[in-house]
Amino acid sequence: MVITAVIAHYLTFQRLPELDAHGRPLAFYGTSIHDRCYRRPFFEKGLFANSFDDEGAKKGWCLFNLGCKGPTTYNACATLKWNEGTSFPIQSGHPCLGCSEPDFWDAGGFYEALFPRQFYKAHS
Amino acid sequence: MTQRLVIDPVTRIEGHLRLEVELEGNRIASAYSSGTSVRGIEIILQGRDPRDAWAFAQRICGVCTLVHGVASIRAVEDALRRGWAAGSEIGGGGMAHGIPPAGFPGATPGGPEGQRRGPPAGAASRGRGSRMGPPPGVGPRMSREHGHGVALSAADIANADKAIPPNAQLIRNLMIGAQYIHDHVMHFYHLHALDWVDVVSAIKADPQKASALATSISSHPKSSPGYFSDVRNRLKTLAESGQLGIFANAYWGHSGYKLPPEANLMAVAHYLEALEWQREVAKLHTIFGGKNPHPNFVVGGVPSPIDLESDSAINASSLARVQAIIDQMRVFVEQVYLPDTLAIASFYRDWATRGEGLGNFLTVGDLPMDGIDTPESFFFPRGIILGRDLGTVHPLDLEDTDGIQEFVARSWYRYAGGKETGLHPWSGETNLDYTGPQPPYSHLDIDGSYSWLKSPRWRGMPMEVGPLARVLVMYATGHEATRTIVGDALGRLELTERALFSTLGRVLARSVETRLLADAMQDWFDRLVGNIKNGDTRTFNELYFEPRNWPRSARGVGFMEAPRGALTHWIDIRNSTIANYQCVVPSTWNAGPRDASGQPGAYEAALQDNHELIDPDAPLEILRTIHSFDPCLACAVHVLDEHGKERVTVKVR
Repeated sequence: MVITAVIAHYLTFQRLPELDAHGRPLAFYGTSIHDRCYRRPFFEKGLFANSFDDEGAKKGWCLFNLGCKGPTTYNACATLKWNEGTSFPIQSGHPCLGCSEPDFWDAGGFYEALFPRQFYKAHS
Repeated sequence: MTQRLVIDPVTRIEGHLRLEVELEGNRIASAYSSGTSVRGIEIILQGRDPRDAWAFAQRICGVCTLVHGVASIRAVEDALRRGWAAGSEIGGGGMAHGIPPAGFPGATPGGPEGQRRGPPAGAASRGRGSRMGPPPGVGPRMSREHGHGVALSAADIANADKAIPPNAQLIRNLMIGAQYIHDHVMHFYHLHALDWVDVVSAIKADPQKASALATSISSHPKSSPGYFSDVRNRLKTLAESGQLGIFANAYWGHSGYKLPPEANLMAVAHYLEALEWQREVAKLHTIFGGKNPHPNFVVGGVPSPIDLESDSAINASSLARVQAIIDQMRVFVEQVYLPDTLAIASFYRDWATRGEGLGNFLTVGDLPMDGIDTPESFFFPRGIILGRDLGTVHPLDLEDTDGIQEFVARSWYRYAGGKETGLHPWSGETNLDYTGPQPPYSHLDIDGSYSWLKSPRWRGMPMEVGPLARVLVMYATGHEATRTIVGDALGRLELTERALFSTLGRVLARSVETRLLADAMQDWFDRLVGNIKNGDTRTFNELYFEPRNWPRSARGVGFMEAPRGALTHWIDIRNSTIANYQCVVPSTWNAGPRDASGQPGAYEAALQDNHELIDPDAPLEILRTIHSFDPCLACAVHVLDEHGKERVTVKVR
């Protein structure tokens, strides 16, 4: 999807789209998954899933406590979704792994909630 | 005169495979299969959280996009179960499971009232692609600040329910089944068909005759003369442009192609249809796992909860989509894939007499109906067939340290105990020791070590794994539907049981098991819906997810039948951390090199079985037999360089 869009952009406007510091097109990597997440209102209300099959998980509350890296991950998963808009990891109940951020594999366990410091850094 | 033929890389496969073949005249005298890049995933996994392992292991390959994830999840679960059963000391140890800082979400787990807190100050966000590294000192080796569950007493753990919920098992089965059906159809049309189907010849086809052929073998609706005429015209335009695009780089016009133009046209039409079909059926993974490729899993169950009253869980609407996808799968397999296989095979019956190779077959079994610890409930049974004897299925014991072993006598690894020893994967080692020629080179040292693949053996014997192994074990154990479909296929092709042990047999077996699985998908789906009707919506067992309740040390094996064959992940957990991890993958069984006693691997043996090349400059026959295994070398090795960008290079020496 992103590649197609970049090619279409180039063919239409004869130049590459604006990029961020990592060389990623801003149209897709300019906003964090957290900021576009349909579960964001539950984060604001302080409603969280604390296990994969608890009330919060079933009702689609925020996955922050299960390790979701949405707040520190810049990608379009929450808007474009996957496989022609079918779903994306958070919609299917799994926290975001943060896979489009540099060195995400060594940035803490996938199921560890972000530390406050990381979180504030992302949102300062 | 002996000449050496080198194919590197073999294309229309996943990963990097090199073949060196010695010819006597035009006949293959000996064959050497080499994985030319190294898989380092075992080393990457050491020291990590076992609950994270699936996401790393899964990325071994993007084609079998879920198999390593499932095998990894099962390895962790198996290790924990074994540790609990053995009464091992509880407590991951070595980790600080603190309570999250006050005022931070999750500080008060429990009901919604306890969780109502405002967002952290400054949560209204702004940021752009900034690097969000962990705070200093935070890394994967010390990151587990708090688990999600409750620390239980040893007695409570001993009495706790250790089952993976049946719904989670059924959802895993549906996802595994979907992987097979997607993968086998894609392999048949997009990776293998062009070894049998001459695309350029299809341009000469008569659409009327193509329509007559198609309607004679199937009730598939897209069979009109107008439809075939359109497809032919599209091909014609492509060919006249001089750019064959996806159909470039093949041996068009080779005299080994035997299909009439109309059969070629029909197959090309279905090649194009399969492209669109696979895009739709991949969505089953997305519904349950959030994305394809690489859907999500979780140790202890599945991540997607079930709640018919929620708009954000598996509900009636998502279940209806799953049902629609299963319908699409069944229709395509019944009306297109299986009939095409039989139609194409009828022109290549001579391929039922070559390409067998070993005659030994191994399955670990999969698709449990009643828990992973009850192999007798598996849809694919576990067992071993030796020397083509369908009268006896030998038992396979994964724990037997003299059973499955990996050898490195001809591989670029060293073992502490010496190059000649075999190691059971629980005591496996991954010590790289490249002794091959420095690139660029023209030949490997086939008398010494020549591959990054190890040589797995069962009691010292090489084994073939994959669809043929599974179908033979099901056939030998009297699985009724298998016997019916196989019998029917052999009858139509006027072939005997003996024909199964061949290149063509491998292609047929893949098609047969796809048909069986498409039917099984409906059964699993019906059971899932039945459970929900009866009020059981559980999808997760939290006991598996809280390291404080884990045995201090545990080891286990996660097994699965991947589309390409028996897959096992072996894990050793110490203090909630991965101490050792070994993957024994299907393409290692099949594509591995010779062992200390010179026994060839399955690819090598199959190529040495009755192959006469029409034209060594265009070794179509080699591709037919190698592709019949559905090679997936990313699985057997891991990409390090950019060799794959090259075109097929065939060098005759």
